[in-house]
Amino acid sequence: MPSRRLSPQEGEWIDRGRAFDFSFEGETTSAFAGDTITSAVLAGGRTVLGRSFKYHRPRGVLSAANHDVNVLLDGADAINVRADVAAPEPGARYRVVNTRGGVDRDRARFIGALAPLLPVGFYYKAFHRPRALFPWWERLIRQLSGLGEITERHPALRGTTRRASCDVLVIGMGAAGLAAARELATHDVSVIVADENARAGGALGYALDADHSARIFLAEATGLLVGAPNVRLMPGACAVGCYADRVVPLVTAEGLVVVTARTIIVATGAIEQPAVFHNNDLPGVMLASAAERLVRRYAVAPCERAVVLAGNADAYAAALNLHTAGLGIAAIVDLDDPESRGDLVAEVAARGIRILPRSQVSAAAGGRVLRAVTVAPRGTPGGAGGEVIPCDGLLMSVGWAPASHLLAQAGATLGYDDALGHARPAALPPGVFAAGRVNGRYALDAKLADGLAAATDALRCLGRPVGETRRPPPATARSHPWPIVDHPARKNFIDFDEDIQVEDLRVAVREGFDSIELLKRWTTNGMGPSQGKHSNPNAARVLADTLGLPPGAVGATTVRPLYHPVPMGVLGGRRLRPHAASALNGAHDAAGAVWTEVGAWRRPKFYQRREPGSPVVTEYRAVRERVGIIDVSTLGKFEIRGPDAGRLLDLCYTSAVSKTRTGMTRYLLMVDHRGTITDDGIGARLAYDRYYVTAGTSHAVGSYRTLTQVAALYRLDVDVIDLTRHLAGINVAGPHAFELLAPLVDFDLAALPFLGACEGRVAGIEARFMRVGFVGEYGVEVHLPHADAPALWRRLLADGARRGILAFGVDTQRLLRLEKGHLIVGQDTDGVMHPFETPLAGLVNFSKENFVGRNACEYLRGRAQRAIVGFEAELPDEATVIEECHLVIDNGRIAGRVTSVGHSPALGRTIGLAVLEGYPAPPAGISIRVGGARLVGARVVPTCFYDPDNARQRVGVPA
Amino acid sequence: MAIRLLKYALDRNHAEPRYFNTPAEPRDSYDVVIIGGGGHGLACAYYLAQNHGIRRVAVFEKGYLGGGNTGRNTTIVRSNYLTPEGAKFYQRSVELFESLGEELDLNLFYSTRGHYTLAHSESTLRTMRWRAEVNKHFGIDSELVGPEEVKRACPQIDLSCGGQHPVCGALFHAPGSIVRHDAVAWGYARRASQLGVEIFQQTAVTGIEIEGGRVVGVQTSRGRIATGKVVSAVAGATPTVLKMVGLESPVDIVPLQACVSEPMKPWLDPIIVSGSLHVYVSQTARGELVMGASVDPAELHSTRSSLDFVTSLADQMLDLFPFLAGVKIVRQWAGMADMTPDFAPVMGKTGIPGFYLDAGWGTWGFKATPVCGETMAFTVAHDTNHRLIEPFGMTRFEELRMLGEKGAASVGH
Amino acid sequence: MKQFDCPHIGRRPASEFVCAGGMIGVMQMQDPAAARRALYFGDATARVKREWWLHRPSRLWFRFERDTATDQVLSIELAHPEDADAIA
Repeated sequence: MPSRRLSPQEGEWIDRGRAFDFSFEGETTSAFAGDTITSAVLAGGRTVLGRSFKYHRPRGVLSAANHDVNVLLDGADAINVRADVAAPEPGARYRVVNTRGGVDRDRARFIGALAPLLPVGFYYKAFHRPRALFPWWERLIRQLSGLGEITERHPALRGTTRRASCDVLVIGMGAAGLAAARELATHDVSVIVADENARAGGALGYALDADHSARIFLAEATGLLVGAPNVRLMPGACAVGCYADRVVPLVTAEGLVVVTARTIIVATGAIEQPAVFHNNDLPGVMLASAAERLVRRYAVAPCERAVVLAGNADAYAAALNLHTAGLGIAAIVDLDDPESRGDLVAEVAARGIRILPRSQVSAAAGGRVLRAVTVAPRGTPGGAGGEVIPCDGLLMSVGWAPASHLLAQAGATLGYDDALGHARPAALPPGVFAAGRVNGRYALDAKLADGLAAATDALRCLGRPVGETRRPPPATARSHPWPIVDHPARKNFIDFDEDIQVEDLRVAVREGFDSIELLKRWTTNGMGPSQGKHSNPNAARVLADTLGLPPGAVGATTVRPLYHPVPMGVLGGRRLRPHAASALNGAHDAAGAVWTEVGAWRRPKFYQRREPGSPVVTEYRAVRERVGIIDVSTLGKFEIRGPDAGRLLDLCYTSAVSKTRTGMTRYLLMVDHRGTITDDGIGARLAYDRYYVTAGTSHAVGSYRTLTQVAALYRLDVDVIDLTRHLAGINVAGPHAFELLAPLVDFDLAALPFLGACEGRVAGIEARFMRVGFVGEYGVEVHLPHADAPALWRRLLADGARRGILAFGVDTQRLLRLEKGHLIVGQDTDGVMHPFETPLAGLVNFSKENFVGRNACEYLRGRAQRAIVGFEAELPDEATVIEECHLVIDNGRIAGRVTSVGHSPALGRTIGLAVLEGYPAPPAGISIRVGGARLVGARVVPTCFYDPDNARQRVGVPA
Repeated sequence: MAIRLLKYALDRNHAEPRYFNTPAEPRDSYDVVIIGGGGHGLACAYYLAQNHGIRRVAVFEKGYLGGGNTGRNTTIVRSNYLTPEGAKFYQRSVELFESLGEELDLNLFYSTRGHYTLAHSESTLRTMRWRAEVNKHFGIDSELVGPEEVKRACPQIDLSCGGQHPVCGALFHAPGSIVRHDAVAWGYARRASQLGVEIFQQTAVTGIEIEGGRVVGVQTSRGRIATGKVVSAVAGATPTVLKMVGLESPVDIVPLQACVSEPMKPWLDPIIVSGSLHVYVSQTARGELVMGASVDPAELHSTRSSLDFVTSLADQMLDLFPFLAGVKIVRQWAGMADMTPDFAPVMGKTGIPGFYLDAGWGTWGFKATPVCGETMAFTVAHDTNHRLIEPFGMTRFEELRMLGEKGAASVGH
Repeated sequence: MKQFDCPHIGRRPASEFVCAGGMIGVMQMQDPAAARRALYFGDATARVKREWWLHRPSRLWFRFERDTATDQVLSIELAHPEDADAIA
């Protein structure tokens, strides 16, 4: 294929000194640094660059600006690469997405022949009867749908998210954006200027610029801005959304830069719109600005002999521009009278370019690529014939749509401007300004003046002294109101992503989808990867026309982020997962801990052991018969101190906390305002106005919030200090625990009563001590600075070795406490249970002034719907196991569930706790449905299975 | 079906009759006025006409048909709920969904994919077992499975989740499905229209008239309508409609966001939900990944999108599927979720004779569309709560009684 | 991201906060029946609401007046004025 590369263009983006190769559809393709994949492939002479999603029609370049996805590729480890704006990697191999056998020989192109059978929405009208066949159809549809292919081997690359803030964010480095930035640079404001393109300039770099005024301005403005210390230039940074309070994420090569701007100037320009005629999707049919970009930026001539379809004055500028670069212009087909187009018409005519006034392109033809167009007087019905003009390029210049997405997301309203031919911002929210083509200003001097005006408005908004704003008037006649030709053979595409034709829309309207949103959802117009950039305006025109309404009367669909799609690895940023770790985790690992997750923490379930049998039972026996230690560092820990300390705790917990004597502890229960149990813990009164309170591992955050919030509500004189991550906790329990600890502490351990608390030293370390009996043996819980915990842990294990000490984990602790019938909040209680449905009702003290949930508790007392009971069972065989959450069944109804269960070594049988519903009084027995839908009988017994008199608490302690 | 497609090919004018009739003006009176032209309201209208022969029904929708949460949800249908009330209710919905395409003669793309709710901790796994047991009791196909089974069904998943909170099991619900949400609204609307129901879009109800303690009419942007029965099925607008009749409710309005990726070839068959990571994902027939997470953290009556949502969703999703880093998110949107304290709806008769409420649908409403329509239609026709919705009366909150769904809600999808 | 201009801690991003709503107010309601009702029922329409927000890093509680229709925050004050002394 002959190369389409042109001689060097002034200001071209390619570096001809750096050449390399890559592969496109198996063909080696040359490229220069600065090329896009599309420009390089076109330069190599190829015209068919893709296949349409539904009908697999051949497609070529359309916008060369990422406004369409005609050229969508998969690389070895990249999916859905947008070739129009992606630079080729040297040596990379790219394939066109969604073809069967390659872009040239796509076997799926026969689907196009079935097109009449597959109108828009056909799949709603078919495939659902008979029902049994639908899965087969769906499998087929799924195979045919979808674009690129993803595999697990695609790299997990994540970007870095940075944040920035500024006084003014200017989005767009075209004429208007640069003019605004240039003005702002001279003021005392911080400015960020961003543009999605690799270089500044926008159309300044490729549009007709006979007197070089554009290029001169571009050089001068960028030079000034580069040197301005208060201006940060960010080319290659695409603003993909405008969120509340003017937060704008910019997508750069490294990742997101999230900008918080006090004011924003949106100078994002306009998106050139396609014309609609039979075969308007043939490779070779493209937007005029696409041809200009290709020629001026990449020195690629996309065609040799073009026909220009003119719906505005820009067409003539484009024709001159391209003719100067060496393209042949066979004719300009003007939809209206050329007289209305301005001065350039004469120059075009002077070059001998033929102009056909008041004419239309009814059809394009050529098989796989464009070879000719059929031109007829405007208004001729499509299919009625006309003059055939051979060409290999049809350049459409019929109109624009403002790239106003960010404005809409910011809350701007847009109104249709009849004179202009498209929408324009009507009302802008505070701090948001528009300039340039997005604001309806097209001529270069108008854009510059508009940019200056926006800068002035922004400065005024920031409180800077400025003169009055002078806005140039908006342009006129930039978008043709009806660049559409109906055609009996259809194939006149409105939406290139979704292969939607004019007739599809008309039929949908007749079927009742006659509002802009319903039309979109039924036809999927605008729902493809380009999100309607080329299809929304024309679809609105067809809708209005079908309903007999003026254009602009049908509204527009909701604009949502993201302006261009953004990879998840860029949005997600670097992975950061804070987690909490006990200071003893190293020791646990060394001892062979098997872990479980509890909230942000991990805790040992048990330790792998050499002894035969269950490690849990081994640890259990150590605690019941000798001594065991467990790491309880994950518990919430709060110090409450001040004159109102007792009052605060009385207000937050149901218990009468302030009645605790100094040197003693109390079991605390917390409920929420609705009376639901949320947490439990131990409250120790260390001094008259100083308490130390523990909370459940997963509930600590919530309980701390309650404490601080109630303190603020009542304006209490109290400090609430969260020591959760400052202190470690070690619980020492067993009949030999006293013997082990007594020599290590600096006080008389025998004087510490059951449920007592004190401060002192253990092994020389300052700590708090609470003698509580969670597991049912003599036990002391030691809370100490986490840095000191490993030393104490080692000391206890060493000193306890001759007593047969073992470390035990949460699984063992669960079993031990189960024998005592101690509840675990969140396991034995759920999201709705209140204290009066548990054995803890006695902890609710109504004689206090008030407490969180008091009102609800008063009502719920006496209205329990559930009850917690203990049960014990003999299981028929080893295979039968009762598990937590097995249901209690009563005569075929769900009557409750098991919340805790285990085999009790002390009793030699299975014991557990269950929540029962619907029993006026606890029954004598219950049936539990276990695996295999079998029922197992169990006796209902009091919840404390082991040592109900707490005699074990005195074992090992001198009298 | 082939005949229907051939008709299109051969007939140039193949438009079918209008799907939704739009009479020029509403009548002066209707037997039933339904406020809300989303899935619930339209389904109620359909079943009123179809099951009860009540056809003098008007549906008033202030926007476009199905434009509320019906058009914004993430289209998951399942019945693996925790409570007996919920399980029975949603199971009926699944039954209706399975034959709904045939009943409405519209392909809803109801695709049974299997639904996995991943557990990342022992306590969550325990709750999954609870759900499985309750489901099995009612004959709902749910079971607890181990991580190997998750990997078998979804080989691409990273069970380690990046090293923290690895997947330790899941609740597998084979009937879990996805469906084309808009089509559900269109299907009900079309059949209801065919049966004589009148649907008025871009028409707001601005007031409800009460006389002698009962409903006598509504004020709309197109005039006053006399009626003795009004159904409110407006999700995020529930507080506003309730104010018209002087009722309060336990409903709070919070945005719920979702997003969609670009289309890709099929790779994900099942629906994956993670309680710990608060994200869930399914792949549509078009090849897009539809993804969502939990509700926004504060009340807001707006469907605005937030950057925090899409960045944190992407971050969490990559824990499950790291290779998706290069896959692009195309669009994000939001709906307004009418949340209740116990993650169960408020339905049925209210203290005002003639005013019926269908609300409190939070993040769990779309899957209930058919059963809501069926039960509300019964309730309105007989002026008696259908037995399936008896547990959902608002009075439970007056008695400080919450249903137990929250024990298991995780992300609530 | 959205930012809040708070007394004493200045302008902080919304992501540092958690909203606790207004439920705490029931603790100080005089009429028990009304307080019980307020646990579940209220006027949930879009309007200006008083809410408690916690700034997690500093653990300070603030009272916001926020318009739940537009998400505009009309006023922010420290919930417990003496907290200001604690961090002064």
